[in-house]
Amino acid sequence: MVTRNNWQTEAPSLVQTELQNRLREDFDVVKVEPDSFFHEGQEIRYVTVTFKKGHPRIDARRFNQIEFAIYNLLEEKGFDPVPTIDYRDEGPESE
Amino acid sequence: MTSAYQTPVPLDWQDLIDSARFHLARQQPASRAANHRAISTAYYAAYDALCESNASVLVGQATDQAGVAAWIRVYRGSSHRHAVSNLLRHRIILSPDGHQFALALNALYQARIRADYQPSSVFDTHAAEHRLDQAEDAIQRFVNLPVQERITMATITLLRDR
Repeated sequence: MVTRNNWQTEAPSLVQTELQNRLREDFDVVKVEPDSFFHEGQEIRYVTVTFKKGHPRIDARRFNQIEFAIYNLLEEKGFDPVPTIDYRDEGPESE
Repeated sequence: MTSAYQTPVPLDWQDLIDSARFHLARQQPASRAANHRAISTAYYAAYDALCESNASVLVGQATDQAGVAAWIRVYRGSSHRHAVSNLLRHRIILSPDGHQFALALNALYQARIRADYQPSSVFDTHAAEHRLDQAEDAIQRFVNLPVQERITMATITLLRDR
């Protein structure tokens, strides 16, 4: 089991590697940041992926396949709870 | 004597998604509130499609007041966290499209919690559009699943594991 102490270190690099392998040159990943939020006793873990400004519109089917493949991979590696992925455009608030 | 009854008419999931897209497009750039509402709506569209399916496959067409009551009881019978987490846990037994719906529902739920309750969260319009597209794709897959699989999913989302 990947504890809260190290998931924030391990998840971003895994997510970034998988995204770059799967997206190739279509999207530039600027940064990948882990964070978590507690709601009614439940920990919500997430990794925010910031894409370079002006990236094309996300194609839902392709992104779903990639996002879910990464979810399955993180689960296989023992992340519990498994962080989900958020996407953000590069902008003033994310620079 | 037959008592009058009203057939339940849940919100249409496509209307929910279209409404959120309308509000996103109405103002450029879309406001933070519009982005967050869209993310919340994306989840509710998927959850509502699940609840409606649960009632439809387990109760069917209501023909009297008792049937309407049963339909509504099943429609309202699931809780968000149980439905999402149990479907996720049991997704391995589902078809690829059912599996994808389970993963999408979880991703949409987690985004919705943060959009609604995390004051520091900031979702931009691309993120909101992504969640709406994700919900639409997942729901289309879900509603086209065979009835037997949707019965399985109804039992997973409504009943506790023992």
